[in-house]
Amino acid sequence: MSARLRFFAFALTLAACSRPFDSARSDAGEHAIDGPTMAFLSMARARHHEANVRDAQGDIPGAIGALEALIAAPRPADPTVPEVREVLADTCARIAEFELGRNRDTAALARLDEGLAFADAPTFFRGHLLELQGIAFEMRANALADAGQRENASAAREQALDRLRQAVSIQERIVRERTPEAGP
Amino acid sequence: MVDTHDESPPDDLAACSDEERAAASALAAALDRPSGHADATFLRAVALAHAPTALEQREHEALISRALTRPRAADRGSVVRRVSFGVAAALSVAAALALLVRTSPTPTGPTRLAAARSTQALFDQPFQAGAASARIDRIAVARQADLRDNRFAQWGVR
Repeated sequence: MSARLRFFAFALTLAACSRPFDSARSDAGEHAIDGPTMAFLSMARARHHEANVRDAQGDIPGAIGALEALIAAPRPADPTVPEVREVLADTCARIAEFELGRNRDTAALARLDEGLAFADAPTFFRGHLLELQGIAFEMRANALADAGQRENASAAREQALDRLRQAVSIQERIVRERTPEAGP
Repeated sequence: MVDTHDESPPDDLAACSDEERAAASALAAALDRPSGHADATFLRAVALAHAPTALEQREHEALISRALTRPRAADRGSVVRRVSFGVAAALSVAAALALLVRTSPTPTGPTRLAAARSTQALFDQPFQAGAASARIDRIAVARQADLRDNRFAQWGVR
């Protein structure tokens, strides 16, 4: 059989085998749960448990380092996968919790801003980040007040109240969506 | 008992008919020189089998010429036949593969795959501080099940 005929037969075979086997899209054209997504989630699980171990040992910098490694790690090519974005948002929130535990409100607020960029939808993830922002601003306001900076402390207090209101607003919205019969 | 059947031998010495005489003359003439006479060709083959002689130059050249020209024509026909069989075989293989793949045990409708989506539905209350790793555990376990279902769906075993 000539090379041209062999190519023709090969092309026909490929055409016959072309089915949605290699599809990584759902019926609606959305990104389907696939290997890279699951690999990232598995890596996230490992990093968070590593942070647990280091936290239990009293090694807070080590715990933060494990979580920062997850944020810097390779991600699935599609940047819109909600699972990946929400896990990154929650990881930022956890780093902020560690930073707040060390009274480092500036570092915590920087992480929280980063996390909010991953959680733009009104979810528990965004609500949690806003709640932590409110706590961080409250911590800053107290520190400023202790330092005698009344005006700056007042401004920080206002920011704290704003973030806490936003957090409450998101939680209320979620409650209404899940329980339509809920009261006002 | 009287046998009425005539068993007497044929009369070989009977006089030849004019027709037999003409046929004998034609055969003798055909034996003297190459011709298309069937009986002469047969008798010549018998004689050559018994006592072969050298081919005449002209006949030799004619045989060589035929040998060198006929196979080429035959080859062209052979190539056409082989190409035809090759194409038919390729089409048959492709059709068989298509049937095999398309009749594999897949769902009749489009393959339904679990899509990436918010994990919000996995949680029924606002997040508590210090519970992040438990949340990541829940997300990973839930999506692992989705991935397994997607693979089964793609393999056509769901």
